[in-house]
Amino acid sequence: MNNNLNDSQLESLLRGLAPAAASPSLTQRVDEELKLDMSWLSTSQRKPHRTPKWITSAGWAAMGAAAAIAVMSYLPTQQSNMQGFATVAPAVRPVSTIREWDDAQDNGIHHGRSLVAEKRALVVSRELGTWVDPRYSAQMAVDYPSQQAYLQNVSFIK
Amino acid sequence: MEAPFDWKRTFEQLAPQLVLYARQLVDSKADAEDVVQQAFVRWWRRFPEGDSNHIPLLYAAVRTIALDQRRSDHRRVNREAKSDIVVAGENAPAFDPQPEQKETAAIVEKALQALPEDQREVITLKLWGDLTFNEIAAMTGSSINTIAGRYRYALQALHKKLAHLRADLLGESASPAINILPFSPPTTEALP
Repeated sequence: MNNNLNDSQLESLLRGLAPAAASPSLTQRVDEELKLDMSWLSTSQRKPHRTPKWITSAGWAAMGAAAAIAVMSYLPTQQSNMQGFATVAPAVRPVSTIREWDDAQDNGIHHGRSLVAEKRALVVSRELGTWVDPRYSAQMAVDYPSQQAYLQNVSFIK
Repeated sequence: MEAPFDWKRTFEQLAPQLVLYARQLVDSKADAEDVVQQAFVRWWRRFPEGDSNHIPLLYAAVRTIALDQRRSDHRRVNREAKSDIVVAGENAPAFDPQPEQKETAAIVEKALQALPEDQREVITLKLWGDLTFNEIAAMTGSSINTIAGRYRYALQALHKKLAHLRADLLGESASPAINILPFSPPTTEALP
């Protein structure tokens, strides 16, 4: 009779021992920490990350407006140069700029390299600008989207 | 589709093994649970779907955090010049045995503690963490041959440490009242 346990029997014997359960307080601590995440993320849960529909069309509109401004700024200079007059300051100028927040996405709390907790957020906004060219009494509205990521240090109260 | 943040089921399944592994790397059960807490939260934030393919990364996180904690503990101990404070849960049992397994569990725990740490780590990850040699090699930064060698040496050492259990196992046929096998019921497959 072979008096030795073979490896697989020894492995079975060891695997048959269940590791001790974690203490209930551990589950509670993990729960609390993840709940904190959930509260931060609840905004973005209700509003899933998406690209607003208007961004594509507004992007094209902004590009068109920018092109128009460039052309309008260029043409009078050409004409005045041709007529032999001194070049004047750019005629097209901004009158007002308004930034509107369209969406704010909370990306939760992360630990940076320095282990400092940081809250990350992404703000989707659009800028509405009004530009005028007094020479032609022309006015144009510029509307272009932007996205900015924000980092905010977070401290925890114990 | 699984509800988001349904982490408890995953945690309940993994926590005992994770704590057992962390205990091989830090001094007490309390420290091990701290490590597991940090590692699990970090892991769950990264993989909130709880995909089992990412479990080796969870063990890797436990390892990294445990080693970091141990380094800072060493510095702290050096500063405090070994205080007399008893660490909570330091001597808590590592296993949760059935009544008939209690003796075996105590012997196995002692035998595990007697192993070199690198062997103990591999045995724990392989047997209770169900990781493959490849996965263990990847997370420890060692070659697969090294890991397999450590496992082999650890099993040999455990064979020696558990020699008297072996005798008891074999004596069972002559004396059926003693059942030292931790898994029940004993099968012909398990016994030669």
